[in-house]
Amino acid sequence: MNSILTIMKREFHSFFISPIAYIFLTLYLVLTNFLFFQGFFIAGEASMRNYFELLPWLFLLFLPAITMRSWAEERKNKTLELLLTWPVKDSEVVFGKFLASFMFLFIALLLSVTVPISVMLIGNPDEGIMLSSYIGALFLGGSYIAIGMAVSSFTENQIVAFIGTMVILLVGNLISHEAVLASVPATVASFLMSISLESHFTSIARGVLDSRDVIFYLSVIGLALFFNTQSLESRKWE
Amino acid sequence: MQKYNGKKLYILFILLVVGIVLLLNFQSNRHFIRADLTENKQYTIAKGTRNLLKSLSDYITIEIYFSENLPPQFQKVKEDVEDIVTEFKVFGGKNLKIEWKNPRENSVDKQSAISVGLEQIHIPVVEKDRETIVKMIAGVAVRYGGRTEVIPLVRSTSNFEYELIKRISLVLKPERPRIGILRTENYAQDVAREYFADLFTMMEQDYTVDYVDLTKTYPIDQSVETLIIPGGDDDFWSNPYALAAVDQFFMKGGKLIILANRIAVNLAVSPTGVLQKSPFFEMLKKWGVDVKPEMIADISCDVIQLQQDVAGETKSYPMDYPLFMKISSEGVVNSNPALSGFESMVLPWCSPTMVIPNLPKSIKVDTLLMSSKTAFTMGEPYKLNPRVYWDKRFELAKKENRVGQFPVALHLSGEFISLYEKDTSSNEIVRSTKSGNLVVVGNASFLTQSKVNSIFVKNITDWLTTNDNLISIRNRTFVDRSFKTSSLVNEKLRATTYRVINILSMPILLLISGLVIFMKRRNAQKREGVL
Repeated sequence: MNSILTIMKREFHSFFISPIAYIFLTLYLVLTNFLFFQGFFIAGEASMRNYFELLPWLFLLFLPAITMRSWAEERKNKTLELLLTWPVKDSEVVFGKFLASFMFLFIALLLSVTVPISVMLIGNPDEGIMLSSYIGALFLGGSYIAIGMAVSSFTENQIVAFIGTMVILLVGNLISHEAVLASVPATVASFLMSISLESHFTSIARGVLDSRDVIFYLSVIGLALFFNTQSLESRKWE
Repeated sequence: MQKYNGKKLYILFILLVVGIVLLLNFQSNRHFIRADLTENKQYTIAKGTRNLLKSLSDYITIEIYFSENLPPQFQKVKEDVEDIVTEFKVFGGKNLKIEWKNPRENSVDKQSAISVGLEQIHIPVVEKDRETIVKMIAGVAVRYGGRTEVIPLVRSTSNFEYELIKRISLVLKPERPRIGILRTENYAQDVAREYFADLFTMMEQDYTVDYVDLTKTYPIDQSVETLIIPGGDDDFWSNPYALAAVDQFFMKGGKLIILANRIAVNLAVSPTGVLQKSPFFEMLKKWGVDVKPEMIADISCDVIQLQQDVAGETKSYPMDYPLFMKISSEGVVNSNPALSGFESMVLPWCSPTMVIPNLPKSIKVDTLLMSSKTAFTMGEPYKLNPRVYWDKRFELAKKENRVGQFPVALHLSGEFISLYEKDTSSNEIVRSTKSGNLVVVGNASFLTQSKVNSIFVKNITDWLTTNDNLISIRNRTFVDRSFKTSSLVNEKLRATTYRVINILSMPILLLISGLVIFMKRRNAQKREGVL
């Protein structure tokens, strides 16, 4: 556990050494808040529904940018071997890195606190739905990060990692899109909805924390981290 | 060979892990728990539902009909229906039987669905790059003994719990309750059905609905439990038969929902209001209610779209119209089960509905709806033009002490005296009732304004007629989330302030903190001689 925490701290610290994290967070906050408040006063409804409807698509842009460097950069700088010579298991390194990115996501969401406060000052929102949506956003973001890290572990090119992750996440979201579901048989549509990253988020964001959604996201995160670990293990084969 | 075996084992290991995860997810779909975090517990079976299901003493069957090839928008509905009926089964126990039916073409299930009155709808879907029409059924039938009640089409589950428990409650009754809608305008039944479409549709799901035409029926059939009176002008109420019919219906135990148009609005040329002075309002006073000859303007109001010609082009623009008062949470009395959780309504051209001074103690009064605290009244002549300086009118009303919060809907119950108590012409006149129930709203045109307004009338009807508390389940989904009232002139300023604060405050704070950390690090490095 200590090793995981040490790696997490090292990685998390590395985000804030360069100005990239600040620029990244600033861009994220300006964009999400700008887009949300574009329609908020026209709709006249004290709710953050539109804010959370944006998140799956904004995460699609921002989170691969965080995860693309997690392994690709280590491989490129040849620091991966050094990191893996530490007396820790590969899975601990993977989990530590995951937690660091997850903490970064947590901070990004925390910094949006002015939005729920404003909505509460303006009207009478359902706080339970807002809380649930934030929890859903953490699960969704967590799964994006885990997938992004797994993709990054297979390549040393950051651009490839970024685009690869975006494509996978885009497919993961689009499979529950109405146009896609309408073009496949009902049983396939039902299956696609059950494996869509976005539909589980929508389910949590309506205000219900369902064990099925939680288990789905934990499975996606677990599987992605597992593949990530296996990808690192594969270096031993060479 | 060894390397080959190792790789094979490795792939097997990966497949095993993936298999375990899939199995876990499959199992989690069968056995799940959930926490409903919504304020009104929208996704939790309500206490009223639980109690009714637990009290079942005989077998009830719920037949659920969903076609096989459902379009995507109905897939989720089907899953949600499954979740809800599973919970119903938990509380209904062995007395509740759930049957899933597959109404495929030419099947017995399809014939059964059509015969009980489920709707077969045609939905366009895209199949192999071509748009085709799919015939489908998505409905529910509840059976008990020889009786059947149906939900003809389940389009969403936002209100499914209420709809289903209501059907169970109805199927247990020996026959459907009867309600009436009084013909107060010159509409034939089919025109009225179109005009009050939402109301008729909602009512016919739960009641046998009579369109009571006093030119054909006199007196009103007492098997009608509740009579809705949608307005009526001086012409209508100057007919003594109309007054007598309503009075006697009430005195003989019928319940009344009166939507009283004190000021008739004429929109034909320029918007004008004409005060109604018929004896109908005297009758209401006799029963304890004074619908004032005034109109309420409320700062908490709805927005209307106005048309204006700009350079030969007609453009529409939104405008706050205080005569379309918006009833928000502060104006809804939630202690009434019919209004519990119900927080939003728009009442146009409404009059204050007050209790008369010296109201007999035998009459109990509950206020149901009120204006906001920033409302004022306007007397004759009624100026309805939206293009006026409402804030100046408000300031003037403030100076004249006309600003306040006004009741616009009342419920009265108890002992009432007939308008004809002193009439000696007939011995058949009933001169009083000991257990009268009357709801009066200071406007009738709101009924056609929006579906939510019709829901209000439906809720009140349910509450008066069936006297059960199931109505509160439906209201959970109609919570008002609109903005708190603010001054009309400050609206734009408020929006800009919130926008600027939200878009810029955190990023600026973040950049400053980043800069401070960067400077500190730089200084530290300088001290250590790194730079």
